[in-house]
Amino acid sequence: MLVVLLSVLVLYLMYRKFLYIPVNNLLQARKGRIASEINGAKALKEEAELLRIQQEKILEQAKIEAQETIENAKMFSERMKESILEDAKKTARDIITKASSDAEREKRVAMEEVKKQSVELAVLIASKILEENISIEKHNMLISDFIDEVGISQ
Amino acid sequence: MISLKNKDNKYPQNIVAVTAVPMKQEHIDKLAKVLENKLGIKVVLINEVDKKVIAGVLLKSEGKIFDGTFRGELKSMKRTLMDAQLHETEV
Repeated sequence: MLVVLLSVLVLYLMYRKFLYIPVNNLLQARKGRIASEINGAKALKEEAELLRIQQEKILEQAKIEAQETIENAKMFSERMKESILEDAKKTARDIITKASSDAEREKRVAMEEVKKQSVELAVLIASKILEENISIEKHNMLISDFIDEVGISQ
Repeated sequence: MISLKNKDNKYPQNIVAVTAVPMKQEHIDKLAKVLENKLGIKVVLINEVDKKVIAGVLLKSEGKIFDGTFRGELKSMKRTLMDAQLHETEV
């Protein structure tokens, strides 16, 4: 009996020393490694997630900037178009104004010419009529009146 | 006006009277006398005939002129008309 118990004890002790403990240690070690690898992987996953979020932000930002640039370009070209249009309109107005003022001036010059010629003609006709229609008696009367007026004047 | 004809020395002044028809002698003498009175010097009046003055008398002497003719009137009328502004009227 005692021998059996002793052998069992010795076997147990030997089992513990040569099997259980080393194997346990091995298993623990492996467990530890696995755990740490899992942690490592988790950390990497988190890092990857962070990078992904960062990348998304950057992309978002780039999209916004691109949009702004397009908007600016549109506004700029719109303003350019308006300015060119304004210039063209102004030039057209100036041309019309100048043309009408030229026409005005020509009209005035022509009217002036007509006036001058009318006056010339009227005076010429008047003098012709007068020349032919004054009698000798009338002439002498006018001359006599003239002499009298010279005598009276200043 | 008439004072434009004045000369300051005592020599007789030659004055030409231009008319459209020849002046009667009595008119020439009367005019000469009137001018002498006005100017205070001796006057020799010469009558020149020029149909262009139309009627009346033009006196000229020493480059000065006194115009009492119809032509003078027409000239001044022409000047007035030329200066007048032309207005547009409804036709």
